Amino acid sequence: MNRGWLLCALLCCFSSIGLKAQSVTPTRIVVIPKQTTLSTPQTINLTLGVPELIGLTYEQNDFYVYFRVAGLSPPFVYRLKDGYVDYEVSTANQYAFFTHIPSGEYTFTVLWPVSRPELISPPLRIRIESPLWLRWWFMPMLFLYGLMIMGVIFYFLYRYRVKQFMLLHTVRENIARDLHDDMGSYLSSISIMSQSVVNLAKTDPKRAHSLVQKIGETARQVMDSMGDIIWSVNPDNDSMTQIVVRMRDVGADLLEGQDVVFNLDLNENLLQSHLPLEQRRDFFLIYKESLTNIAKYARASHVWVRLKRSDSLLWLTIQDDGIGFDPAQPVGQNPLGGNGLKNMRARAEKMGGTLTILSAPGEGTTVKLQIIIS
Amino acid sequence: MNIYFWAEHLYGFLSFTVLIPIGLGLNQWRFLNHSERWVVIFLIALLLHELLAILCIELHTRNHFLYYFETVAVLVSVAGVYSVLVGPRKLPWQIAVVVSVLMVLEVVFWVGFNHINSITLTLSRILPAVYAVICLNRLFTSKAIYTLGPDRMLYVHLGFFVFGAFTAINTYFKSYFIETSLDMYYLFNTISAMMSAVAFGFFSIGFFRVRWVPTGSSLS
Repeated sequence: MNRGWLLCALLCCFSSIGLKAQSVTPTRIVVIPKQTTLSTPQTINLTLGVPELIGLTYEQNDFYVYFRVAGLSPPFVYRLKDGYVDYEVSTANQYAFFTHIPSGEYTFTVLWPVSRPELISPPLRIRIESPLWLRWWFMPMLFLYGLMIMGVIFYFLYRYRVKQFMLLHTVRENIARDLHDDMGSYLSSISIMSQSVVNLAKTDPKRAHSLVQKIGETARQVMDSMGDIIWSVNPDNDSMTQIVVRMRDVGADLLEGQDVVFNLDLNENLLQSHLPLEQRRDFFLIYKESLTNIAKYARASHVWVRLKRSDSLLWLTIQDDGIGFDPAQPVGQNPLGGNGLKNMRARAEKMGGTLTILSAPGEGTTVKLQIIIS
Repeated sequence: MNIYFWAEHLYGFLSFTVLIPIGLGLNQWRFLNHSERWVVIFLIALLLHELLAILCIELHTRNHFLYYFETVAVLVSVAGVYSVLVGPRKLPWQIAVVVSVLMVLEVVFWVGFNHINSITLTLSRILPAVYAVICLNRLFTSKAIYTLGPDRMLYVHLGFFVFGAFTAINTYFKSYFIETSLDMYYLFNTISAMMSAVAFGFFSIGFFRVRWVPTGSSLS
């Protein structure tokens, strides 16, 4: 029994001595540089210790692996293997040369298929990294990047569409309101008065005649208001040049025959400006209301209209040398108590501007409008 | 004449489209607002960088150090453009100074001299895109739609958004691609140059509209 154990112990000892003598020691890996022939090969020294995993970049896929083999004679077979590929090279040299090895994690081993087929050297693990653009995250990252950019673009397109829809809605609402407020009341008056004319034609022809005249006057007001609405929605009239032409025409129409000298003074760079639809209508109606008031109540001999622009501010000043009025009690001039001044202020506020009316009895009137334009 | 030759020439052609907005900008200089003048300076800085890079190539000199100057030039000019448009007036300048200091640290302690300062170079491209998105959002929120078209600053913001968003990724990977893959380098560089040309187109439209709309955005 004891002899048996001694024999076993001796066999183990001899076999371990034999394996040690046959051990394979990797000495260095020499990486062949690419493209630049002037560069020197990069050497990874393994004599001081073999790392668990040797990492190479995807460009370092041409390399030599040098080994020192003790106790066994060639031929050797060098094997580089991963899950997909298996390179085997039979040689008498104590180095292996591999070229154009794809990215992946490999196990390098040495075999002696002729002399000792049962032996295999300890594995040397080598990882060749993928290039950046072939790593799993690169394409998703590019996709997300593109998605982000497209997201921003589509966000702005969406905002643009919503804004456009809201604008269209506002324009339709404004036109509907204007038609209802201006046209509706005038046409109702015409309808009522025409019915009265029918009733009075035989009984009171004088009053009927007066009503017919009133109908004609109201119809002219309808035409006038219709002209204003059409003018204000026409995009051709966005330019300040068109606005000024219209202002001059209206000034001449309202003040002609009243022996009033009408002066229109313009800033030079003003004509290059644009007034958008919303602002144009309110701006023009404020101007028109001011001139109408002058024509109706001011009894002026001179009217000065000044229009100037300073950066993004547009200034309109309408001044007359008429009888003036007390701004605190404007209805004094109009016994019917019109809404003209109130409407002018409301329109100025709607445009985001300010309206100032300076007047005193006997000292004329100055109306100043200041608005911000883009 | 391989594909690299054509890619190189396409890049050169696209890069020099920057001359169009520069020409228009200089032609209308006295009508430009503060931000638009900085846009012209920004474009001139890009042009100078390209010219100096070509000079270095002709002299067989490694020209990566030029990216430091480009980074600072882009940061400063973009801060100049957006200092009156974004946040507190000094914020874009403060950000530009911080990124410039970071660039020095990146070069000295990380990449080494005459290597591309990828991180800060990319930041210098992302910043204008971010500023542009902020301003575009404000424009779309605050202005009526028909006043957008004539607004010259709309085109400035669109230009900076396209320039920043589409060139940032190229600047981030440029250094890596130069060292590892010429194909990827040329691909990304060409895409970047194409999108830059689109951005220069936006700047050109903005400067071209100066003739009709004498003042800039109400935001400026």
